[in-house]
This record gives sequence, C-alpha cells and structure tokens, in this order.
Amino acid sequence: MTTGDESGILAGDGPGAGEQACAWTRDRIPLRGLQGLSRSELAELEVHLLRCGDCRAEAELVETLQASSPEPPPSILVGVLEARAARNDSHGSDWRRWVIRSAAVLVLALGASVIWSRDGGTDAVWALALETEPPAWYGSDWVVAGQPIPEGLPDEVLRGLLEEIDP
Amino acid sequence: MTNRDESREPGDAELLELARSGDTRAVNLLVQRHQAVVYRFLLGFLKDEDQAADAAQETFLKALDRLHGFRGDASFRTWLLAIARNEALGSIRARSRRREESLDHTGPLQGRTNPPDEVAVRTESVQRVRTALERLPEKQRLSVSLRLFDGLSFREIGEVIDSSEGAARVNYHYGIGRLREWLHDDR
Repeated sequence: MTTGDESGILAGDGPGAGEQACAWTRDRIPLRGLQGLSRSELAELEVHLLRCGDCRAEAELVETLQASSPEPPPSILVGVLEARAARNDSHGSDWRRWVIRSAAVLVLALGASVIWSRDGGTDAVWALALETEPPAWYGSDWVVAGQPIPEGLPDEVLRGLLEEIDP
Repeated sequence: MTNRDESREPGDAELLELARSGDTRAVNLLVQRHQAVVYRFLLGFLKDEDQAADAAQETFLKALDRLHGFRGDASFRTWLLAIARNEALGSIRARSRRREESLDHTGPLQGRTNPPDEVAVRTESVQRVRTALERLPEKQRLSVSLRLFDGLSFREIGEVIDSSEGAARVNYHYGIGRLREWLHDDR
C-alpha cells in the first residue's frame, strides 16, 4: 500500500490547491476501500469528497470497479501444496534408492578389502572361490548313482563304478 | 513455525526466512497472502480464469524453488509478479503456438475459452466491468487492476509493468478515464 502525503496539501483554498487536492484524492481513492490509508489521510479524503462532486463520482466508479474484483480459486493453494508434497515424496524415494545403492557398494568394497588384507591379494580371492560349495552349473558328472562322488578315489575305482552303473 | 506472538501478523521477510528452512506453514501463509494479486495480475494478461489459475500455481512453485536466490532488492510481491509476468508471456506464446497448430489441423478457433454457462452465472454488472477492463491497453489494464484491486503503489506498479512511477500513475488515470466513458455509455 502507498503511504500518503502528510504535507496537508488539502489545506489550501486557491484553484491550484483545489486541482492538487483532486489529484491527491484520486490517487488515493482505491486505497479507501482497501484499508490502505492512515486515519488522517482518510479524514482528509472524506472531507474532500463531501466538497467535490467530480471526485465523489470517481469514488463511486472505483467502488463499482472494486466490487468486480476477481477472487482467486482455492485450487491455486491446493495445487501448490500438492505439487510440493509430490515432489518431496519423489525426492525422498530418490534419496532412499541412493542410500541403498551406496550401502550395497560399501558392503562389497569392505568385504573385498577384508579378504585382500587377510590373505594377501588375488590368491585369497581364488581360495575363497575354491572353498565354496560346487556351483549350481556343474553337470551331473559330480554325482554317481545319485550320490556325490566320494573324495580321494583313484581313477581305476571310479572307472569300475561307472562300468557297474552303465556296462 | 516457532512459537511467537500469535496476535501479530508475520511480515514477508519473517515468513521467507521460515520458508527457506522448510517451514510448510510459512509457505502456506505466503501463498495465501499473495495468491490474489498474482492471480488477478495473470488474469489481466491471460484473460482466462483457468489459465490464470494454472499460471499462478506455476508462479508460486517457481518462486518457492528459487527462494534462496531472492535477495530482497525488491519486495517479495514485486519479485513474485515479475515471475508471474514471465509465466504469462510463456503461456501466451504456448497459446499462440496451439492456435497456429489448431488452424493448421482442425479449422476455425473457438472464440472464448470460458464456457457460456459460467459467464451467465456472473452478475451483469460485474461482467460489464470485466469486459470493459479487458478492452483497456495492457499497461493501463495492469495499472488499474494492480491499484484498484491490490493497492500497489505507483512505484511498485512501475517496476512490474516496466515503466516509471509517473508513467504508472498516468496509465492508471487514463485507464480509469476510459472505463468511466465506456461504463457510462453502456448505461
């Protein structure tokens, strides 16, 4: 809101002062309906309106115009809040995904570094691989007559077992 | 929001500080406080209520995203209206592109975007005034609207419409003069 002219411009009686008074008043008429004037400004303005028909007519016009003021629909505030909430949710899930991925990478890196430091480099990694169970892609050769091949059997014994199964 | 004197209306600067730190209530208050002026300003440009509401929403979202960049050289309201102005120009450009495409592909344009029954609901007097306002040249229309409905100072209006304070005052008074003539002739 504007602040008014406190210089008492309306106090003069000459024609110049009158025109100035009308200009001062017309600048401020819109603020009258918007509670944008100080008490003293409002008093000066009302006094002028009582004396000046032209300014009174303008005040009536401004009142008519202000009565047609378009009001904003509630959808603006609702839309802003919803859009921000949706964006925050999306940022939140992005953040969670980032944390999970980072944690996975960190665990792998830590595991690898522990193995490396304990057994001294790539040999330790191979050792780890050999210690594990036979992987699923090994063929049925590892199993004889539904049983796992006993360890430490010489080739001849194994050949004999195979002939018994499939002469 | 912090527990302060509830009887005092917090100023924009205070709300902005809180909004920057993620206070949702401060954001709500800022939007509530300024949505009317932003909406009416955009309506003055776009002359379509739905488009003005959409553009107002976008204006606030952009402003809230850039809150940390607001230095306070101008008032928050003036800054918002500058963003709204860009939003309006973008909407107008998009609308004219759509019109060209529509002319190319689907034939004649629809005259007005508001459905006729919506217009009929408004009182005749309000509609007459709004139609008269829409007839004003852009700077006069914006000066009248910002002064009449939202009480902006002429200096602030000048900043928004890219003119001097004096030019904003002249635009306002010319606009009021024209409205007086047109509304008087319509009687």
